[in-house]
Amino acid sequence: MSKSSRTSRAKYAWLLIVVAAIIAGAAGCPSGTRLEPGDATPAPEPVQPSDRDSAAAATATETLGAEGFDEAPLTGVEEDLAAAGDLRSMTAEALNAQGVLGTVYFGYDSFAFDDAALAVLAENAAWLRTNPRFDIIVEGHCDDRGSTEYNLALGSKRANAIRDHLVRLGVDVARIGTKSFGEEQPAVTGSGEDVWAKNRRAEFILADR
Amino acid sequence: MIRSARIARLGARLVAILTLALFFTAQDARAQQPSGTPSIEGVITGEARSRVSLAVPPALAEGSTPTAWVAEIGQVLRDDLEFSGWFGLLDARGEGRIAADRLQDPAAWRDVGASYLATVNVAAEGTKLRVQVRVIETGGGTVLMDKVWGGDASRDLRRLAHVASDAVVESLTGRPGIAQTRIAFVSRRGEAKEVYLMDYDGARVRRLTTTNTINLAPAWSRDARRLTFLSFLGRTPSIYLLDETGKVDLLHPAGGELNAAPDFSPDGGTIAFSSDRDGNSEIYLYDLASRREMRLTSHAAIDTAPSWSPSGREIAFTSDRSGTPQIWIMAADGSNLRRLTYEGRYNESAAWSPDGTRIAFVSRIAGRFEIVIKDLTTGKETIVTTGNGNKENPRWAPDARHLVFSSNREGIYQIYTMRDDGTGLRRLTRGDASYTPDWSPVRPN
Repeated sequence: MSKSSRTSRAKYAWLLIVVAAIIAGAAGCPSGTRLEPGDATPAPEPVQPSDRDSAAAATATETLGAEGFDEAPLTGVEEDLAAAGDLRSMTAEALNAQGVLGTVYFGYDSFAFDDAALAVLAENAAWLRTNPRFDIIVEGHCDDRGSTEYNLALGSKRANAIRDHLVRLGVDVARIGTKSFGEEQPAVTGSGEDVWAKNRRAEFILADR
Repeated sequence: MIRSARIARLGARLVAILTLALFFTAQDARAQQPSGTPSIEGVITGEARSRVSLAVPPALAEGSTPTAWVAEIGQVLRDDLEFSGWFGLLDARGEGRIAADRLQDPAAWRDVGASYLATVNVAAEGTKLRVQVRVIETGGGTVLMDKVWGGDASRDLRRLAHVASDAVVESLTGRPGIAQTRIAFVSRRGEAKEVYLMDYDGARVRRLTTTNTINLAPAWSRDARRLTFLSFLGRTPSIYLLDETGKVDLLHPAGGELNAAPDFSPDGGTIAFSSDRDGNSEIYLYDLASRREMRLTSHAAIDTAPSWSPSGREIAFTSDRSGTPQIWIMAADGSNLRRLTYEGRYNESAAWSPDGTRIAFVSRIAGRFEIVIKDLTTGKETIVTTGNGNKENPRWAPDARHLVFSSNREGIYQIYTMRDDGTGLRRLTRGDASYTPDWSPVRPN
């Protein structure tokens, strides 16, 4: 819940930046010139908006018609490069331990994807496309309500649904294996909706080719 | 001479069985069963069950046989007969109304209301045991059964009692006893679940697998000589066969990442199972001799957990093709598909009763999983469990009068048995969590 509201806030911030950029572009052009799609005037590079404040700042800047000259510090970039460097030599096991691929969660007795699941799947698919040297096992899991047999079948449904979606997102089907654990390997033990929600999931396990 | 004695015994036994039948018939009439001619068949599955009064005085030790052995055999035999549900057992000493030296006397027991008397004599030579059990009709003193079994005290005390109990049941009811049956199940050991076996009463637990991985849902063959179960031992969950000599076979179905939920056909030649090889859990048959397979279901929904009817002509299974998991039935070739359950939104884990008349399944009721029995003739559903926790994985005893299941009613999952009306609850396991029990058939001789 909180995750999706964060996402929409981020989208909103993006929108503000784009709108601001269009206004800025229009203001800078001779009167009567229309911005065409594909116009050379680029939208700003996607400086990752971290929160509402950056959007507010962008709006304020536009209102003043001024351009700043200070550049945001390059936080995180060096780390990413370092990680990418490591990645080339890292084993699947080490990457799995790092949790580079997100887990997808499901509703009760369901193998449908909600928005959060689709977002994780998009990220995981992108990662797999850019790292073709790994295969992937999609493991389907269930909460412990219901029979062993039904939950094995449901876990299989979840894993297969993810495989099919990853293929739609451009991951080679030959790289994807599926495995259902049913209710046998809960992420969290106990009962109650909080526990069950954490156990109804699919995990992505990388394998060296 | 011998022949006429045998005929007399047979005649008396027939009388005993007919007496039972009449007894039950009378009970049936009292319960005003709607069916036409009441028969013993009707009684066994009917609600009105009656008991035959049976006396089992303390076992007698011959010579210097250790009393502990005699007492154990006597107690286990008595427990078996009690559990069978056929008998009203009288107090072992006749509630003090029978003199100690007349406890083996049929006439004395007749006078306190026992119809039959079962006497037990135990003799030992070292650890070699000899157990003799007689069944006597108290009215005329006719001996219905007189049998002797031998074994070793170091390992056979309970077995001797069980085999004697089954003989007593058979001599008085004409039906096989279930005291020698066993229950297979899985039990958690660390991260693993291993296959275990125990006697039907929870005694003599022994471990069958040491895989250090997850094994699930053992199912018996009808000759009780083989088990099939699911194991995560290989790369993908697969179906294994284990026979009584310890030989293990891996079933080799045509493909799929998940082959699960195996169930032996009544003739033992075919295994029904579910596989996701066609992208979604469907039910298939695997012929053990020819290794040929046949797909039975074809639907985008989950189809799993097949359970054969005792005739081998039909299969009950779980499908969520109607939107939620429900029990469906089809012919063993996949034809004549029909939905069995409509009450409730979550019904699964079907188990066909060995007499073919009922299907037990699990239903989610008020947030908990309870065991429900559906009568296939009347369509009536009866919720047979109540109380704390979930009750799962019901499986029938071969007498069609008892069920085994797993439940977390006392915290972690354990194995329980009960009568098919939900009474007589017994917990069989303790300690590590245990799941997916299956009750063995009576082993043919």
